[in-house]
Amino acid sequence: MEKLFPWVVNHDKISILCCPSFKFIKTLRGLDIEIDNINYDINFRDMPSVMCNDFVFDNVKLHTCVLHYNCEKTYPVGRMHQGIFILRGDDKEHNGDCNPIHSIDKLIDDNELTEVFDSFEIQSKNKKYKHYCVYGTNI
Amino acid sequence: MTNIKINCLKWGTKYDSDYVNRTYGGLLKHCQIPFHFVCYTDDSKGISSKIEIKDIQELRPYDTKRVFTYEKLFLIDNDEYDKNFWIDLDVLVHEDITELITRKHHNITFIWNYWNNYEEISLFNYGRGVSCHTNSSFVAWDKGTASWLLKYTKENWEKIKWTYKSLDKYLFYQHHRTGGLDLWENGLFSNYNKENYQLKNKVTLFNTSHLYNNKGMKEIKHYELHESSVQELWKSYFPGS
Repeated sequence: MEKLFPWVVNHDKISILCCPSFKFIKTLRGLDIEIDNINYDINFRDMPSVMCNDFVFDNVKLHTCVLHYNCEKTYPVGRMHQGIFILRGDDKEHNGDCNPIHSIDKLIDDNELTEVFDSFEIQSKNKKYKHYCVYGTNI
Repeated sequence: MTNIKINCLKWGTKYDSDYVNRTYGGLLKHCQIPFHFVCYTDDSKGISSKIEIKDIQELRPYDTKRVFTYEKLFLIDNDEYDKNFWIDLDVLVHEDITELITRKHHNITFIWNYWNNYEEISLFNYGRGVSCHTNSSFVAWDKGTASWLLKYTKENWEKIKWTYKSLDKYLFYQHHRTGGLDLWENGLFSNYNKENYQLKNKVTLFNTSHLYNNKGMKEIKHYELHESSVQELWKSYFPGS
């Protein structure tokens, strides 16, 4: 997801949600960005580099900038937090997805964004689904 | 004397009144103390007059198809007796459960899916959002001990509704994760379709709803009670008219 990097580098501190890619997190930390890696997956409970919390249901403090890596899996973060968002979701419709993302507009509407700085969509490598990404704010 | 209430829910056409009557009959046979049995339903036709009928709508403050069987939570704080239970209709009681009914419950108590490998199935898939290792087919609580769960559910309903397809999944991801649930110990319940199509322990589940609520389930053949090899035992449970 290198296409997100031009958005990410505008921020010194980012809360990253639901990102299972440690490579992605490591790359961002290498850019000298302060990262809170927040993940509800209890397999990460004992990893000091991961805040193992469910940001929807637990009391979690988020940085102004939030990057949500799998929006299809949770309640929209924009309804719980005011800030700047980098949102990524897909239309794979996996059994574990409570909120499949079928368009950029859905990400904007779900998260109640009032201003969009940039957006794009990209086909998966196997061409079976699409990722939708939005950079915007609800402030 | 302790008073005991056991509830069941029936709506739609998947299970008919025989399922209600035989569930009650099985409890009568295998519980050696008196209890009151209530069925919440949208169709009381054929249900024994020995069973109290209530309108399922009493348990439906929300109009949603999400959080499948959330209605069960609205039995909490709802005309509670000293000891309270709900039992699903696809459950066969086949050994004496008097001790399960009379024991003290300091907290609401659910079934743990001992028949599935926790590490390989539920833990491995946790991050994908598809895990579920708790089961709400036979649940017990003493008066007042489950109020916290109903309160939390009401306060967080919007987020719960958005996130979870089924009650069991909600319970597993939110309340088992935080240590909120009590669980029946191993050796009491079994799963007919996951454990070689046989009756084990005291109570056996025939649950199939996960097959309908998820797509692409490549699972073994699942039998309902009325088509299983133990259907004759099930048919022998009858409470009278």
